[in-house]
Amino acid sequence: MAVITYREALNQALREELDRDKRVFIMGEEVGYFGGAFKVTDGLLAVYGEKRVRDTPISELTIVGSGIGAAMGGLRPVVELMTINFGLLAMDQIVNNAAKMHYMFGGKARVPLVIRAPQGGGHQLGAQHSQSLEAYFLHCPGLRVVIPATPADAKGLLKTAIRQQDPVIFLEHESLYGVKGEVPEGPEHLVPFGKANILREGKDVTIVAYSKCVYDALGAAEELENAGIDAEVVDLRTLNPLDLASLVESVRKTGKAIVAYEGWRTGGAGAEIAAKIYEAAFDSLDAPIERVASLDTPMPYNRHLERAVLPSVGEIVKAAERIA
Amino acid sequence: MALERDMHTAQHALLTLQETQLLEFYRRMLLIRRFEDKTAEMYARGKITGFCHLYAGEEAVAVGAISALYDKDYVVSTYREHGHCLAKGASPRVVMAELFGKVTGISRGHGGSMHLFDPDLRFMGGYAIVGAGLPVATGLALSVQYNEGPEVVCAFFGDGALPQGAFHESLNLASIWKLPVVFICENNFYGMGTMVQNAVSQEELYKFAVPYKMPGVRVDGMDVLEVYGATMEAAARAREGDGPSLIEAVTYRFRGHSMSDPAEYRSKREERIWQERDPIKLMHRRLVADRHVAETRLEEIERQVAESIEDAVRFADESPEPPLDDLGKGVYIEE
Repeated sequence: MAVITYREALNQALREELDRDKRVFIMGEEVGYFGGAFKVTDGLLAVYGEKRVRDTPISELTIVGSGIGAAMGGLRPVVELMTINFGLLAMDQIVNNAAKMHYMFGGKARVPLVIRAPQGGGHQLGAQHSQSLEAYFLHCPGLRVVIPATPADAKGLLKTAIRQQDPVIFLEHESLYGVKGEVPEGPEHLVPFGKANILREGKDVTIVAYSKCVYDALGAAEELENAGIDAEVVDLRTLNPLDLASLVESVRKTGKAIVAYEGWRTGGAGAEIAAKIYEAAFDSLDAPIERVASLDTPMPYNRHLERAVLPSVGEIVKAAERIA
Repeated sequence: MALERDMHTAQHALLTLQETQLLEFYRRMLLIRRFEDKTAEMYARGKITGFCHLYAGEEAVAVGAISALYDKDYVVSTYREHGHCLAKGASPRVVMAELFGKVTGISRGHGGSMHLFDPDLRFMGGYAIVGAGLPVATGLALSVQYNEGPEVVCAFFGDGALPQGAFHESLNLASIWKLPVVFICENNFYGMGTMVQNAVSQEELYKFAVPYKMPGVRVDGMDVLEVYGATMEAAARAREGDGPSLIEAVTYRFRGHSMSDPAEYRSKREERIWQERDPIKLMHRRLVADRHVAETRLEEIERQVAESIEDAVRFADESPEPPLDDLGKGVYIEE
């Protein structure tokens, strides 16, 4: 297996799907001549041309809305929002249209649209460019929420997203683009939605994570091992659908759970995940579920303050020591 | 000027179109009017609930524009959409059943008055957020252009959508990509109760075509032939690959914004003036005076329309409710 970056894995997925299906096209701000603000679409314009790699004006609402229309018209649009922060301008189209149309129109509408967007903090980009907004989309029925941590999953989940029928919010973490990992070659590497990945088996505590926090969870597990605590690390991969069965199975074994995520603590995806574990496996829990998340504050610019706001390996370790 | 030119177009259409086509315009407008009258009655009787925005008075816009399209052309609408949906060929039965919330409705009772949809008719939905259908229409047009198809997309919206970002973003994108869209603004002078001049800096709405470098015309939206002529021209242009157009159809809703609105912000005098310009009465006069159509033929159409509306109500009333067993299903295609 080739070792490539998360960014290259996404680029590979796009190339393979553009090759496989003529209906697939990419549209967004700076995806063409600039090569993508984070270089995910780098080199695609030269190969696939302006028809299939389309630079758009800065009009997020209409980029997403016209992606919806194009999907209804039989195409397979992959829309890139330069960052999820700008996606807030498109919330009406995402929530009121994409998410609802299949149900609201009596099952007759199909919106096979993929909306890709980088998110997350850690680069001193300030309050408006450092958010993790997955909970907004998780809250809304009708959207699939996909949030890969590894290069292999970035590729396999994006390909699955492009091939399936429902609107997908595909959230990439800005800190992960340079992360390297083994990625299966060949165009049929597909990762199914709703199947969590047990990255490390353990018997004392379950650390549930997704996106960048998966790496924090793995780092914490290593430290905990030295302290004699055997942690299991579960990468959710997709928040909707949620692989609750795997979580319950893990918690039945360990009796304790930590949910680690970069969104704000209040009303974050971790709250929902914890609630679902309580509902399904309360009798197996030996301690309250711990949440490790971002502090409830707009992201400060200062490096030290930003680090203190974000969840960390140390906080996960502390949470584990409290309950394990 | 735009108005003069289009009056000429309308007169030309009146004299040159086949009588069957003119009668079809009349029939469709009448169908919409009687449908809306019946809808108001059913609403008052509690058979229809929720928000319900009637199209009475504006029939010439939907019928004129949609008659200028082919069946395969797309229509995107708003929450005031019964007229567009019927004009695109939906059976009054399935529209009325939807208003009744029945499983036989065009959206299986999931949508209601504001969310009618039928891809087979290429009626691509009613959108209940002002302006939100415009990006969708733009994207449908992109799919047509991408596939090098012959279709055009006709997007209806009200004057209330003009100040929305979605309007400006969509016209801009459609223009730079030369997409086959006909943007049809139904200017009925009020966004709910707010007069257009209190909401839009340029109240001659068709002039918004200028910054977006597309043709813009204002037509009399009470004259089905004017709307028809302007849409023919815009659709032909779109089909040729020359890009979008903006048509402002000046019209008037004979009822309030919705069923719960008595429209007290409008004067009775103003309403009377527009009632006299009733698009159906205008067409009736023309058919009799200019084309010498026998009154009995128009009466026959009236009778047929009345029958189909009665049939639609009976169908809706007798149809079953959506089953509770299905609740929670159908949110995703791939469950």
